[in-house]
Amino acid sequence: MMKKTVELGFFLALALILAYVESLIPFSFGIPGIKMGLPNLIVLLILYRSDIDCDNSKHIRIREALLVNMLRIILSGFLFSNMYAILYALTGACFSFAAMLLGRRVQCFSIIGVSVLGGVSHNIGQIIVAMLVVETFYVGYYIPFLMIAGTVTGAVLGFVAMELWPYLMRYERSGDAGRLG
Amino acid sequence: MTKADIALIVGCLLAAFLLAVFFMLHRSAGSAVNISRDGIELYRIELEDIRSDEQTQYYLIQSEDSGQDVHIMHFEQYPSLPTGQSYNLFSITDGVVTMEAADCRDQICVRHTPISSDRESIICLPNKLVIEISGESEEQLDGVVG
Repeated sequence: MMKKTVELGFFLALALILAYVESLIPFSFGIPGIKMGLPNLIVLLILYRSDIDCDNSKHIRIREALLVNMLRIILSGFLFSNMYAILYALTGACFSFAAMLLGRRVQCFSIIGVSVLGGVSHNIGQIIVAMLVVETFYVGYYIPFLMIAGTVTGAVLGFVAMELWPYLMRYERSGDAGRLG
Repeated sequence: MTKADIALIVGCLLAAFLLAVFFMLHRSAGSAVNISRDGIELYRIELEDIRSDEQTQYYLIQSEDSGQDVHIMHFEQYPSLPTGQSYNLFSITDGVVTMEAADCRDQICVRHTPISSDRESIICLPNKLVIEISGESEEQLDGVVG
């Protein structure tokens, strides 16, 4: 139990650092609101860690990933942005998490495909909510740009996650980090 | 990377491209130019009224730095620009709106490409000014996207 708390805390801290790094990098293509989504890397890695679980606690992993996802959004929202941004980020995260979970379950995608699904659905989810809030289809014009942005950032993050994966595995296998009590 | 990944990426990019083309084809010319500052609409120019004569019309929006007083002046020729006041000068030529000059620091609005289509806008953030082209009717807009 303690071990799990420490691990999740470690992942949460890492996600917050990535959120901070992201807030420092000016990343703009003339369209407001496009981000790299660096913290999603952590969510992706937690989702994929269920692979190396020997016991049948897959669903628990999902709960862990969701917990870290929600906490990092709320915390980084309070640290680096504002209330409105938190709400939008939460809706986007709900969409992307659901999509990534689905992509993960389907088995035919690699970590890159799952990441792309997450990026694209995050953006589309946010746009749909924005449409409902502003009550105009005006913002619909952003959808093509946001889809491209989501695909590109998702693919890049997925690639990074794929490259990081062996290192995480090595850490898991060394010592008894793989066995959780 | 699996085949499904590549299919997904290509599919997403293709869908975005098709959607963009769809939106591009359904662009319609605007019917009026709205000028608003701080979210408050100041002035509305019906393009019908000035489209008949194809001469360029100039509009100068002038405001005191601190005050809320905003003046809009209409010129037939390029006017002399004011000093010591914040201003934006835009022109309308046959339904095309161009930001000609502004006193703002970044000059983003001046460098913005001229706008002519429905719902395009030029925004000058330092002067909190929005020049937006509005279209014909609401139903038509909803029909396009929905």
